[in-house]
Amino acid sequence: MKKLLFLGLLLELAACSRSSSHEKLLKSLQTVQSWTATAQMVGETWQQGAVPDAYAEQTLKKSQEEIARETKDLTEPSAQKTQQIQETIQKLIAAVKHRQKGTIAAPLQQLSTQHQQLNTLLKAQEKQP
Amino acid sequence: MKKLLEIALGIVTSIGGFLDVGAIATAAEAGSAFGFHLIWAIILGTICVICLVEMSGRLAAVSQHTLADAVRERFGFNFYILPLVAEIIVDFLILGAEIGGVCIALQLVTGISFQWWALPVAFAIWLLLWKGTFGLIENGISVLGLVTLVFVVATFKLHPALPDVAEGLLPIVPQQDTTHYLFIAVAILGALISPYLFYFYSSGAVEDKWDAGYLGVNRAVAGLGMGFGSIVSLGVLIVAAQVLQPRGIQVDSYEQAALMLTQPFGYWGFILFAASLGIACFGAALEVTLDTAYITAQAFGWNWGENLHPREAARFSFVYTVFVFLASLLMVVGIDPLQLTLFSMALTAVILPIAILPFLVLMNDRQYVGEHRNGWLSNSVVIFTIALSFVLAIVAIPLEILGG
Repeated sequence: MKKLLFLGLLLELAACSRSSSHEKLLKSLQTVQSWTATAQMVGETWQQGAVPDAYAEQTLKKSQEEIARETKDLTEPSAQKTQQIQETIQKLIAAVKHRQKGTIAAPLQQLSTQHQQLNTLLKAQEKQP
Repeated sequence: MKKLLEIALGIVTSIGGFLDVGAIATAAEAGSAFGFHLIWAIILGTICVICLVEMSGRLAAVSQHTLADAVRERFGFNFYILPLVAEIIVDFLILGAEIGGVCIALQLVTGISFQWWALPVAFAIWLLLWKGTFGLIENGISVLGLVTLVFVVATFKLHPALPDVAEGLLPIVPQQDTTHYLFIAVAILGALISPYLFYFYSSGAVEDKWDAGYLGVNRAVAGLGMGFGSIVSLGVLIVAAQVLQPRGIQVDSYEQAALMLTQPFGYWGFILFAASLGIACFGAALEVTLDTAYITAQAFGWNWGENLHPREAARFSFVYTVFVFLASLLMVVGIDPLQLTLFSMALTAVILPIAILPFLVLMNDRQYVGEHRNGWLSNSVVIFTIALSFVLAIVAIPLEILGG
């Protein structure tokens, strides 16, 4: 009886640990998704002249840093996707730094696509038990 | 006519002074993460705070005692030391967060990192306290705070779906992210039912020499002023829900929140957000600093009063001088202002019971409020708020760890 109880406890612990690591993965993906959306909105509003240059540059850098921090906790294919997002944000930063509003459209489009892909990935993860 | 003017001014200052760093941060985070689903928390918190602010004003007007004075006198110094120490600790963190809010507003506009602004902002707060009068602080800064009405205007411009907004009046706990939802609800309540408001309001009533003739003014200012003020908080939540949530942006920093007014107002929306944050936090920082000096001076029986020359209330002035510079150091060392805000709001919830419990005794004690004692309705609200505060105090820290 004791052995059965012990086995049950072990199984329960394993399930908890799996569920907690899944929750952690979800949380990281949600954070990446939120900061990607932030970078996109900052890029768009900067293009429209609705935010100052310094703010846009600082916030894009912050988005990149936050995504990089979360990437450490991610596995493939999510990690690869977030790596690509960081590279795209780098292009946005360069456009803002050089005040080239004309060159920001392409990376913004790219980021929008990557954002959608990330959303799909997130939804797939959320459906997993 | 004079009373009407006072009521009007009181309402304007309450609206302008309602928003602070906690209200902005919690409402923005609630709206961006859970849409309209936490509107009920703002409404509940507002009802509680209206009743408690009205009571602290009534106590001061009838008994000529500030809340701190009355608690110390009625319960003794050994009891008063508990809420005093708790309040000083929470005020310290809230002041750090308010200074952080002003610094972030300056960072948004100038691009210079918020840490560099901490000491100049602390100096500006100190200078205004040292040179200014209570009227200047109460009315001047709060009138400037009317800029926060921009969130209400933005709400109308964004045309939120009214049935969805109405749905937010009912507390429905979501199946996903439940702990985070509950943590934000606790933080909203902690931000709204802030004990410093009661101590500050009653001290202000004594500074303004209120007597029993001011009970009507008190009722109107507490009810209408706080009620309209909470509409600004609701505006922040609704704008965040309308602009940030559909894009998937969850507010984890003020830089993200700064985007919320760009959709309805473009560049001016960004500037108005920074102005709202800066002015609201500056006004609240003045109030929190004064509150700490008030409760400390009242605890030890020192001379106190913002209308007195610093020489006439030397220890009172010394307390706010030291306090404001120490709190600014939290920002100098680079603590994240938003995280500090949310943490201090949760901690506020923890100390609520010892701050609210005395209301039940004082507001039924003829020695203090005479014939203006609480009726059954007011007592029911106090008992409900005390019960709520106990629940909040128990769950605040576990929720901070799990969902903060």
